[in-house]
Amino acid sequence: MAQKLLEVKDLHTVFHTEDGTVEAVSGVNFEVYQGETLGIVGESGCGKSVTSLSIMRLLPKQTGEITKGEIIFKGKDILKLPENEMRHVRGKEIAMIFQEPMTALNPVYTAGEQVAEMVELHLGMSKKDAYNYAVEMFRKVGIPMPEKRVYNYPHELSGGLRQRVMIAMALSCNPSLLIADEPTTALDVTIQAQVLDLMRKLLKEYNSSLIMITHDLGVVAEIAQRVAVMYAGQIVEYGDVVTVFKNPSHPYTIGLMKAIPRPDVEVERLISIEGNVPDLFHMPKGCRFNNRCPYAIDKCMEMPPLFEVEPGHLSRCWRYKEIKDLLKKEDGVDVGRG
Amino acid sequence: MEGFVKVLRKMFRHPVSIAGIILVLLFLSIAIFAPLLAPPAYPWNPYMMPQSGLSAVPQPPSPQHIFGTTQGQYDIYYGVIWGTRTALEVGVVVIGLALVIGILIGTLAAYFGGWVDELLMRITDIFLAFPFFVGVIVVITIIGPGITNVMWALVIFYWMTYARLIRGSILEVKENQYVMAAVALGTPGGRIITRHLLPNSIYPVIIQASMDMATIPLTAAALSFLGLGAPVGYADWGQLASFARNWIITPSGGNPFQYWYTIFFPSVTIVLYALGWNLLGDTLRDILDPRMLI
Amino acid sequence: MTLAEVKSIQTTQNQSKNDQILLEVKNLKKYFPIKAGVFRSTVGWVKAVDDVSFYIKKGETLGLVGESGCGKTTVGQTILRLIEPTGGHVFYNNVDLFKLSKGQMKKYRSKLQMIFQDPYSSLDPRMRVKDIIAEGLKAAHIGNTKERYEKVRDYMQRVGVSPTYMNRFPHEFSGGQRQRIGIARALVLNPELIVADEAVSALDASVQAQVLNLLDDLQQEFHLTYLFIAHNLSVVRHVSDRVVVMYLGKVVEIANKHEIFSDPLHPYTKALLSANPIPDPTVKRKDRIILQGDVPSPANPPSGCRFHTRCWLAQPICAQEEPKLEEVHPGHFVACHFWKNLEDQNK
Repeated sequence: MAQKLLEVKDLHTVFHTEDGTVEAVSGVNFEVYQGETLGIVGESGCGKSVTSLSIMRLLPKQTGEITKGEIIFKGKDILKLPENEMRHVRGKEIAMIFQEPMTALNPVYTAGEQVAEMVELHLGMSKKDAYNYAVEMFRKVGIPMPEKRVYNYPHELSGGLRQRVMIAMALSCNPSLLIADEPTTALDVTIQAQVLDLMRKLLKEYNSSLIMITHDLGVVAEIAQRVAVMYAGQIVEYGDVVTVFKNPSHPYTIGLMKAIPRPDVEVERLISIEGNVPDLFHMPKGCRFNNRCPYAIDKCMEMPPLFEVEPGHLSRCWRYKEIKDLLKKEDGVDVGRG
Repeated sequence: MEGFVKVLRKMFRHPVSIAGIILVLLFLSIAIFAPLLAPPAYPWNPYMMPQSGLSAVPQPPSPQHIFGTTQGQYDIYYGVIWGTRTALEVGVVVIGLALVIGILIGTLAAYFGGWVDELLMRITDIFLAFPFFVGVIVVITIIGPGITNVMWALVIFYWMTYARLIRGSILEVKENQYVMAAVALGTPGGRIITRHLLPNSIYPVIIQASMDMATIPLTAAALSFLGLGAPVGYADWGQLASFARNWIITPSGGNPFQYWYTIFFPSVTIVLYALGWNLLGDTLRDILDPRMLI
Repeated sequence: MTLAEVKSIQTTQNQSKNDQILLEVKNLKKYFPIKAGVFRSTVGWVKAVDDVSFYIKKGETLGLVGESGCGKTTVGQTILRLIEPTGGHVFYNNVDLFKLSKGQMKKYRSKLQMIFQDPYSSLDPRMRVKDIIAEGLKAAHIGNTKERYEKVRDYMQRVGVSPTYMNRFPHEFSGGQRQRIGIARALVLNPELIVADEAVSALDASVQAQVLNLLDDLQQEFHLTYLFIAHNLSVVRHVSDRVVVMYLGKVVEIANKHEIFSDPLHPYTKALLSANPIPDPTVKRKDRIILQGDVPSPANPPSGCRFHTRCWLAQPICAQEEPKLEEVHPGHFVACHFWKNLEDQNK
């Protein structure tokens, strides 16, 4: 197996708000191997973005705090690094791509300047080299007429091009880990296809790892090799993409798969998950999904650990063994459609 | 209800907000109870400060005149108390009228847009082209001095702030889908303005008005100081300050602060008054911030 | 009445009314001026909707799909005259809505309703839920306050929000509940046609399914006709009977949904389908089409066929001559010079 690049161990992140302290991430564990893509999928408020900001140590200073856990990157716990060393990790070792490139790019600098600044800073290139390098990066991410585009300001570029600039910037220092937070959500579907295609190609070329944070199961299926499904601040299912999609073993994952209409298969009626995502102030006792779960039993008033369904495939459900049978009994439909 | 409690909690978390509210309440009660605090000497014209003698030299605080007297022997305490009424009156009338005009013009401009907006905003620009103070002085020179005329002059050159503020605010609110939803429901234009646009856009204007409650009476006072406002002897802080200007530092040598009371009491009053409304404005800005309520 | 009975009645009604056209859009145009300079003179036009025609049959769901800037939202808003059209006609039960005065239009408001995209900006934050839902009733002078609130209670129940919450403010609800409130607000007027503009795109997947199912139930119950505007093809496929595909202000293809999804005849439709990610890692799609370049600006659309700059089938003629929307099979309209080539490819 490939080398372990990042390991998140028992991460707890809280936010201090006016109404009290809430835990947005409660005990998240996962690892990312060299060259692979891990998808973190979940609905709004599940803690997927907070997890990524915790890894980057970019939580809002006044309100956000990591209270527990380790983030081992290349064998070192980066939570213990002083801020000035962390600055070298950010951008150079771990780079981030945001959902809305318009707000992530500085509007008063040209696109080229922003890429050049990164490499000047981290790779110590001269101004001229950095500029040429920026042009090269723009070409690499498929921006047409890169010599001209480096002089454009972010607002002069389309959404798709801006996201390409973000990718160019993120890859410019050849980081070993990329974190992309909903990088295609703001884009049109044809542009999303372009960007995903590009990312796949570049990851292979650079042999970089990617954490893809998204709400879209389709995007995960397209780009990730392994997936972590998050719900209410916890990972509820974790494993190889094919296994998780074919053999989902947590009721939430199953529910999510039944709830989304698919472009390739028609169903008469969607099966929705009742209720709403719990808010952080009012978490249900025990398993956090128990108030919406069709299979909840008394045992679910206790918090289940992550059970190993099969090697490398984890599920946070007391009934992980019987869930498949329960499903079959229920509607005779095999969710995995396999 | 829950929101209201939240607002109160927020308000009382900051001692500064409480200070602002207490100061404003203090001045309001002084204005309301002025006849009790300082019984008028001329009941037919209570705003005239009682004059005890004609001596040009101010008299220090004494049991009869607890804050002392000004040159010309006007009672400073009486001037401070009844001047509060003058200040609030000027503030309420000027800002009230300016609000009515400004909100009307700004709302119409923002709601109808197009040439209506263009026309109303150009008119607004014309008024804004005059430097405020110069404009006011010119108008007073034309219509003559006096407290009422000062108020008119201030209204004429003050409504534009509100017009622009409410216009900008409404233009922003108009982008919300609930406005389009109201159109789709067949809600008449007037109701859209009163139910949707104004309630969601009025807060910045209210905050601004609260801040202006501090400055507008001071402007009026400044005009009185220049002799353009209230007639001599009218209870008005500007007038008191104007009486004090020759006595801030003793003109004839000796203890330089011999006549401190002439400037001390009026100016402390003015500072506290301005402070109170500004703090209240800040508090309102905090609690009326829509992000806090939603 | 059981649900099955309702459904069977509904089906027979549908059959009898199958070809009854409820709304017909003809040559709809909406141009937005581009203003520039000190005097804000008009220097050009954004042709957001340019000569769009389609019809909606009674009781059906017509999906309107396209990417941002294709004009789908503008179509929805001009049909209801929430913004004034530049040209064209919209016939509702054979009445041209664009010829009505604003006063006359008011009578039709209750029949044509809209559900909005953003559950946060579509409800006035300073109004109570009961007043939000009752707003249309009040505007139409239906009932007194008590009767209106009675109706509000009834409809809150129907959309699945407990009427005990009617005195609350919108911010006390979740996104999904807010969207239900928005649906109740439209429904309480007893409309015939509902334009749902990206009605579920702001919602989380699990909640999205709830709302889609609710819309489906309500359609059965109230015999509603939907114009369902969305960018998400999977959702459109799920809800629609027929689908209209738009690109840069033009209709490029109209067909019943089975044909659109199995046999798309416009290259753009095909590319759109191909770009849509499938939530199944084992589906490996061969000959995947990834379009090159960006969507051109509607202020300065390409000549001829507007898609020719990104089309892999484009020939010189595509840049010169604009293809007409033709009915190539019964009920299947397409605007492409080379649809036949694509049909062969599909086989």
